Amino acid sequence: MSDNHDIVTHSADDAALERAIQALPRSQLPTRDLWPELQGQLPRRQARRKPLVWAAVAALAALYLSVWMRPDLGPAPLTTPVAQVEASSAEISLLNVYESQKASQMAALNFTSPAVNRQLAAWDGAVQQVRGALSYYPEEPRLLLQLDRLYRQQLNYLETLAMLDPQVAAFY
Amino acid sequence: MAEELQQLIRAAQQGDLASFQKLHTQFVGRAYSVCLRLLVDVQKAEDACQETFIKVWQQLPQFRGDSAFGTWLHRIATRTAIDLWRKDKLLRLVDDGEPNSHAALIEQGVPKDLEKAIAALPRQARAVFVLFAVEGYTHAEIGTLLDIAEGSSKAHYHRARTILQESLSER
Repeated sequence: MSDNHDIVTHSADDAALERAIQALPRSQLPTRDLWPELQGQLPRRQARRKPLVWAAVAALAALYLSVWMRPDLGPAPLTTPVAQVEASSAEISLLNVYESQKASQMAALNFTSPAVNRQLAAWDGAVQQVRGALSYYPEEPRLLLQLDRLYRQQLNYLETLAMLDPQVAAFY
Repeated sequence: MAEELQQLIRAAQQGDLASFQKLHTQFVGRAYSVCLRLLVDVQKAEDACQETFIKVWQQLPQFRGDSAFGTWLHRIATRTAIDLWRKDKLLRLVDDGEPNSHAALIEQGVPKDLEKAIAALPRQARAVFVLFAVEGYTHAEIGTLLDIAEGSSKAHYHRARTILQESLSER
């Protein structure tokens, strides 16, 4: 009898405990607003910049394709050694586009001169400086645009030279 | 509602703080609740809660929705609280004892509702009880989380249950 009483009591306690567990709130708000403090602790993210970078690359790819389609400026294999080990993917895309283009235009020139070489060396130096900055800030949109601008200036220059008389162009 | 949540998650993944604040408002109660039950200390629970949301913010771009967002966040909260719980345990140098044992509580006249009785459980038994009975983890999962054997988890749970039943029957 006593044993039965114990079992019944135990079972009743068990059910009461189960009910109490089920009744526990699964959500409980802190006594103060934690957001203002949290907001200051959240590390900065760069996720929003990605679309900008890839939009720039897409625009440049479109430009490359438009040049590609020109019969006088066909693509040439990449002959200039480019240090790509540390470069970001956006930077590599730019280099692939412009270095091949530049090599093609250089090959089309049938002369060279110290003045032209100096001018091209100045652009190459500027390109290296921007690439140096990109190694610290990979995929920085402004640096990528600057790199793009430098290459386009170089290509325009080479294109102009190709149209001039070689004797005149030597001093250009 | 689900679509609204998805939009908030997507925007927060892109770095939108306003959306993340809305997610915080929606889920902070759930995260804080598990932290408080495990740590039984408002300050520590708040710290764990903040750390949880910092981790969520950092890991959000990698969240692919394989599980529900609330479940994913709750798992991070649980692990974060357990990490603090473990550090706290090391700081105490000696495990458990039963400084707030059930008997002591009755003597002190502490109200015997379940929440307070859980808070008064020995640390290990409390952690196991909260994770198993309230949060729904299995003993195998608890064993991994707390770095104890599955059998130990079961033993702690039964011990906790016995203490709580006694506590409730006193009412």
